[in-house]
Amino acid sequence: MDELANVDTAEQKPRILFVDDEPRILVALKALFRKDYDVVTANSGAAALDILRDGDVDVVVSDQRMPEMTGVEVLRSAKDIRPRAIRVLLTGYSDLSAILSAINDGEIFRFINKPWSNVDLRQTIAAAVKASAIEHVELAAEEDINEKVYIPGVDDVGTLILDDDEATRDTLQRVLGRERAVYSARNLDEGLEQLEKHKIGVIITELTVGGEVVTDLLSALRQHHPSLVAIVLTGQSDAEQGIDLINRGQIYRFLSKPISEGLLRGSVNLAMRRYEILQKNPAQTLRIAAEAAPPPVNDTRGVFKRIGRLFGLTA
Amino acid sequence: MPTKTIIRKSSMRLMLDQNKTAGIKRRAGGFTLQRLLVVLAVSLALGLIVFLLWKMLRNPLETGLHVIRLEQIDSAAKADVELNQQILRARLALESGARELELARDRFDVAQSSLSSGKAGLSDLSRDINQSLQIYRTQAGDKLTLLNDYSARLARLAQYFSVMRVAGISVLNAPAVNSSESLRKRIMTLLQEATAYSLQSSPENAFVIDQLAAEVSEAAEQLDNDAARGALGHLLETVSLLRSSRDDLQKLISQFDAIETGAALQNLQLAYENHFQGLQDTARRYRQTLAVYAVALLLAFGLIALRLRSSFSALDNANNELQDTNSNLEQIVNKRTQALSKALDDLKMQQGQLIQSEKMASLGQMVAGVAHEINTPLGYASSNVEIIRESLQGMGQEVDAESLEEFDVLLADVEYGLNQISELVMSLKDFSRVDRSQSQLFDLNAGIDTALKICNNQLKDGINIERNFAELPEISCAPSQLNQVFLNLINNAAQAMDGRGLIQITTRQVDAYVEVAIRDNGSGMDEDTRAHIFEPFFTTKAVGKGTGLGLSIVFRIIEDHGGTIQVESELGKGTEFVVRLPIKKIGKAADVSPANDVVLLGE
Repeated sequence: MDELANVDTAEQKPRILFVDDEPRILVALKALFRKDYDVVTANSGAAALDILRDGDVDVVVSDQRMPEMTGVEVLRSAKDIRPRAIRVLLTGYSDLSAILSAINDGEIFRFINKPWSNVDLRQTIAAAVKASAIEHVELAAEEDINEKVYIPGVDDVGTLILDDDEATRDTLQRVLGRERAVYSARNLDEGLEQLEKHKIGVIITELTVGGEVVTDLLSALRQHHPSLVAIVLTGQSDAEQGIDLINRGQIYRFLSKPISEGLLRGSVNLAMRRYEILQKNPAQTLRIAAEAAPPPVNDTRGVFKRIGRLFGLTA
Repeated sequence: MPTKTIIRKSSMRLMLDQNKTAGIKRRAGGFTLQRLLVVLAVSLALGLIVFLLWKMLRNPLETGLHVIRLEQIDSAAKADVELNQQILRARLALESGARELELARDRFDVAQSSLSSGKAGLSDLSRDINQSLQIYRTQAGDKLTLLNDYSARLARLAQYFSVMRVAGISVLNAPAVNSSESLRKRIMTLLQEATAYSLQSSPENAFVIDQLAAEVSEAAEQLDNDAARGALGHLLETVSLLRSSRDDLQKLISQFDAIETGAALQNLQLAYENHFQGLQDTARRYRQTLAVYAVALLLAFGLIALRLRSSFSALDNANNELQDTNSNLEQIVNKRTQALSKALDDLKMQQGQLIQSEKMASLGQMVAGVAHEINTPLGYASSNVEIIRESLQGMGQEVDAESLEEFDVLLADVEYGLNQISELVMSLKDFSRVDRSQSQLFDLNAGIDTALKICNNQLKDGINIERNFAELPEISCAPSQLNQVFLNLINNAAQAMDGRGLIQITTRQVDAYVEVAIRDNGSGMDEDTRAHIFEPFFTTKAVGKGTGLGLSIVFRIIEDHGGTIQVESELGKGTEFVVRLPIKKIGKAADVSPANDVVLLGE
């Protein structure tokens, strides 16, 4: 809060970089945000990277389809150059692979579809700015993430597997169970039960479990249990749901079945690291604040009330 | 490959045929010879049986003749016996003459001549008979000749007898004799003896007669009366003549006895009976032969029949087998044809599906590009309009209120237009479902709305849409496919109406199913069309206007989802399609990757 206050007092507006190959978009965005923010624009990926290297930026908003360098590439580089900057993808259309790499490589904050609503975009940018105020805590990249380092009191944190398919559950349990406690559930109810019973840091879930899409669950968990790290491991390939999962669930990874053992284990280890960081630095959770979703209308079984109760009590 | 196989097979069959015809030709020579032999054998058998029958049939005629012949022989025998009797009797009937004898002789003559002549005659039957007949006839001839002699002598005897009587009476009446009692007595005795002799000659009679004659002649010597002596002499002479005549007669009778016509006749009869016996024996032999032959023939026919039967049954079997094979072949061919046509249909269907999925894929590609290209200008345009509208509100002083209002309206219209464009792009995206999961929870009502948006331009002029949407649970399905289903059905409904009409779309939940009914009041269709609409490539549209795949794809999609589609239609009144889908997917279109592929072990 002090930092933010400092910025404000120094009359220094948050700096936002818009990247798009269509200059009229940049003009429109500048017109929309210039009053509130320090708007910088670039009409190519290369130009954007130059700007990022030249000075600090709070939020980077990029189009996906651009010649020479795609939006995801720009955001991935931005993550390296300015880890604190919050990354947003503003796109008219993006295919599934772009979305997947934006989530997994770009670790983006939001997807925004063109045409956008000014009101929504303002809110999103405001949220991004707010998130960017928190300094990013880097994962200890030097450590071998594949090597299990047992830290008592932290490493007794378990992993929850949520999937209809028994074989999948068994396989995952076998692969991951060697390193840490793994619990499995075949539907949302069982999942919640496990969350109540055990200390769980990472949840690995299929897109739909027991006929229900997990987006709402993940969204609710994000609200009430922000340090829980979510990995979606799915056989379905749905771009729209991927976007939804990022915007509302801030999932950490979006993985496709089948997956190699190495990638799976690496992802889970990373997720566990992230969980540790989030546990140690609760402020970091603000960086991954998701859209505050209204409570689902069809919460017939009280799942979300239950989540609220559960984490209200524990938090 | 299959073509080659067929060619090889047909050529083999050709070779087989050639072999068969060659074999038939080779066998043909032997075959005619065999046939000739068979014909000969059959005609021989028939000829033999005809011959035997002829022999048999001739026999009854012989029997008839036989009876007549026997009768003739019998009557000849009778005539012979009667003749003999008459011969004997004629001797005693000197006064009555020989009329009876004549009659008997005539009968004998007729009988003996009829034996050798006429149809029932015995001549020329056999050598033995001929011989016997000859003997008989000779004897009969002898007998007749003798009989003539006998008759003549008998007549003479009768004459002498009467002469003797007359002479006797005259002698007895002579006074010389009359006076001498002894003489008279002797003469009387002589006359009596002579009569007795002439009737029944015996040696005593002859002796007595000789004695008496001697006495009478002695007595005559003593008579003085010449006349009386002469008369007496005449009497004695007559007696002596009578006696000799009687003796001659006796000799003739004994000659008659020597002629044994009866024995000859018996011989003849014997010979004939032998002959007949022989005939009968022959006939019996023939009969037996015929019987044996008939039995043999019957056996032969039985054998032939048996063989025929067995060969017929073999033929039947072969025929049945052939028919079986034929029908089997037909069945196989039918099966193959069906399989082939099914394969062809499948192939067409797959081709259609491929075309369709290719279409969808390229539509997706296109939509992806178009969406991006349209969304970018849309993005800044709508953003800018929004900014300007916001800004306008702060410009109250510089611009008059009327213009401000007008600007606001105009900008609102721009916003509206841009929204329209945006929605269309969204619908396109939704419809193509590029990068959307194939199985997810989906609100059918939303799907129908999307479909309606897509085909909005088809529905514009005069077609009203009535939506009776019930609250539906989301169902597990492939939304892009279901969108296609609704689009197809709505398009079809619109095309059935010629630009004016009402499409009612009703959704409802029925138990574990959701139902979507799409009803139009268009042209409808006849029963024949209705029966075919779900078949691939069936179309009522003009060539080039429709692939004929739409409804078949609809059908397949709904089937894949474990649902049903029904259609009711009345010509001129309209058509209603009812799609029924299970809320929990039970179809086979699940596209979740197999479980064992979830994690690829190892690096």
